[in-house]
Amino acid sequence: MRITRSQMIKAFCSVLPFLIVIGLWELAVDINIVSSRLVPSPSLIALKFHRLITPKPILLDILCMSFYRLILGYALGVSVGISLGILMGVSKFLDRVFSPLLSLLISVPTLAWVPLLLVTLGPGEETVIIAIFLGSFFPIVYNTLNGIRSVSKHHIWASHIMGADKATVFFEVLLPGSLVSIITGLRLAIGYSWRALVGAEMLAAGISAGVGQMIYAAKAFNDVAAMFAGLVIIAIGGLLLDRLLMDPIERRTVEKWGLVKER
Amino acid sequence: MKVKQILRSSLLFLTPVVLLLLGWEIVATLKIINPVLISRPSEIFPLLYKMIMPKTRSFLGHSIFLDIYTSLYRLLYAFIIAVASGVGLGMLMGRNKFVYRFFDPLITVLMPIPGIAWAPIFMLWLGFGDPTIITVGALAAFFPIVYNTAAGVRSVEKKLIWSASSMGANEKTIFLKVLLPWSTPYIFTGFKLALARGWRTVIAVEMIAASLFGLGFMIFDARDYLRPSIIYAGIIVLVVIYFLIENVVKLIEKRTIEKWGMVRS
Amino acid sequence: MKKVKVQAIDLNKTFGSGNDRVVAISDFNLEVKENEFTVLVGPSGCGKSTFLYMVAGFEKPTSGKILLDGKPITKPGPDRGFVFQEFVLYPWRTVLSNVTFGLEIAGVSKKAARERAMRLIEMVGLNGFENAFPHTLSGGMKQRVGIARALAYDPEVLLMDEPFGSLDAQTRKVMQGELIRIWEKMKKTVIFVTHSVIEATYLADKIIVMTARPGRVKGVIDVDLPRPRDYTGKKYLKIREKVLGLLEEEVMKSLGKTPTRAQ
Repeated sequence: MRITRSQMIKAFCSVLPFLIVIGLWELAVDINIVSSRLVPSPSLIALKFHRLITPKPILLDILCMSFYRLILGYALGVSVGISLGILMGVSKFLDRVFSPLLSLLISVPTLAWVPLLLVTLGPGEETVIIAIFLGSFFPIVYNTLNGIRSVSKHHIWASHIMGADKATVFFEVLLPGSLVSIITGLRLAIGYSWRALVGAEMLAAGISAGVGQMIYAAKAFNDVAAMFAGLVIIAIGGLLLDRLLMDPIERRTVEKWGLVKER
Repeated sequence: MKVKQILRSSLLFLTPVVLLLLGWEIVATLKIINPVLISRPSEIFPLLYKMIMPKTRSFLGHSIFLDIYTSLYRLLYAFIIAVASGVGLGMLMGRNKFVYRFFDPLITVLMPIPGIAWAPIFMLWLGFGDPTIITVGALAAFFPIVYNTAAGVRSVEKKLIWSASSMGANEKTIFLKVLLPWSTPYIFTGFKLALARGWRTVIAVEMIAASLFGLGFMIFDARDYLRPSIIYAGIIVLVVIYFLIENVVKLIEKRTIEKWGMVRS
Repeated sequence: MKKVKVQAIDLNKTFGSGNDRVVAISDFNLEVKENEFTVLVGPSGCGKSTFLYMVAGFEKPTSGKILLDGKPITKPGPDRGFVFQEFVLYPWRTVLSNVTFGLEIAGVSKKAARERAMRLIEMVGLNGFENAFPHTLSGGMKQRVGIARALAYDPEVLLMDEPFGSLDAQTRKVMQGELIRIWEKMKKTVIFVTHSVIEATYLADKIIVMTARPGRVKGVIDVDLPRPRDYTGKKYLKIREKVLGLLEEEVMKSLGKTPTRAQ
């Protein structure tokens, strides 16, 4: 991949603010404007990261556990969400049945479900995974539903007059037509899932390693460096998920078809 | 007939909900799933009533309205702080390219961090209770406001500004008479998102950072008593409050931006 | 004597009920002969598109019937082809696969379908664009694809609903010429809807003027000129005047005014 000069300048400009902030931050802590007991300096945070990688790759454990839960919860949300969204989009009856229920359930903050999950499922993995499921489910259902509804009547008519039966209309018109919306839903859902993961891990006391758990546990030891390290992981993790996962999918489908403006 | 329409749509809305509650009641009564775990609607609603009435001794020791009030005022303070800081920065970012280029990457990276992840740090700095909860709530609400305000100001067509300058307007006038009115729908969207995010964050942070009051705390605390009916009651309250807030916002929208024809689809 | 291809008998179409009732078409009777190019003109809202939708099978008549080759039309099917004003191409399919869509549905082998589609693509002048995605094409090119797609599965009748209405004046003129060129090669029965008298007089063998809503047949004008026609020719202009006269009366009626032109 050839990187042009202007791309490099652009990348540098995006990184510059961070460098400035980190620089000032380091200065502030080093000359004791802020106590390093309360706010760790960037160098301390970097040191913490180093300790998390060697001698034992604790960081790897933490990330693996979190991603394992994320993938399960997200996959569940995607499969149930898209299925329900399609069914509701195609069948008016199912739409009437589920719409009221969904609109009530969506008004509950995702993490508010966690205490209930803790009581019914216990303080373990399942709670976190189901919480992630709940986070990803709603944007996916609604976006899938909207996507199917948004396919224009004329596009469906055009396929009818060419002799398409219901199955063909569904697979060849409704599904591709709703793809833009579905991808939007997937995008939103990954963000919500990541946030649900972090929150649920902080609330579920019985789980082993995890990104959210790491921050919460660090508090018990007043380990501010670890807490900040956790924040960095959360920020970068969320960003990477969005860019690395969703962009390629978008590029190969909806951008190619001209349905979405290319970045 | 408007009344008929309202009745019809309410019926359509309520039927699945009522059926669900009935099914739930049956499943719990017949002990298909352990009722300790899922409790029954017939228990939840009386409990809710008890919790509302301050005089009767529910286990809470106080009326649930106190919790509702606590969560709401935390949200309000958080929102006000977010607005005060966010609109200002957002407008600066929208107007000045360098300010924008400086803050935009920072915001892009920090915005997706869930509010609750900030909570432990702030608990270390500010302790339990209101200071932490309000601060973290403000932090969560801050980002949508800056982001949307900046987007709004940036979206002003240059020509609108040019025409004002050629009529002799100075910076201040341009700001007040062109930028501000134009950005209003964007700012409003930012407010809506900030409220939603702030609310979710306040409830979540209450779970770990509150010590006595607050809906989040109440719901989280109830798990220790193994009485899911309290949790359900809390969830129902959350739904009702969300519904109320949503409608208040819609009303404000109707009276202001929609009336001025400035709604962005 | 040419055979009657499409027949509308005592056709009525009403939308809505009670106070919101709209009578789009009433007592509509029409005969379209085989291989004839019939054009429907009428003021806005006169129901000409509604009629076309009923021939296509997208809408059902409230009463009366439409016969194709003597058999009543009940639903859309590949014995008819339809070209929409807004092109209605499938953005996720290339030009080639848009054109082969009808053939795919009919179960034609991939090879045969591709061959036939390529012939049509060449005929409409889009050679070299078969692998392009619709969003990269201009309006005129998109409509050529629309026409090729509608003709691909060899329908009995070609229905065109203001197909050039979305194009600029220049492209429109070019496309009118192209359409006649294609039509003379394929020799099909065409029912074409437009509100442009210039277009109608240029294209039609027979012009049917419709009244304002509720739409009826106001007049039928035969156009016996050889093709390609001259937009400035004397005979052309005379026929154009005649049609315009009939039409203007109806346009004024639909606006609630009295006509200014003498009959």
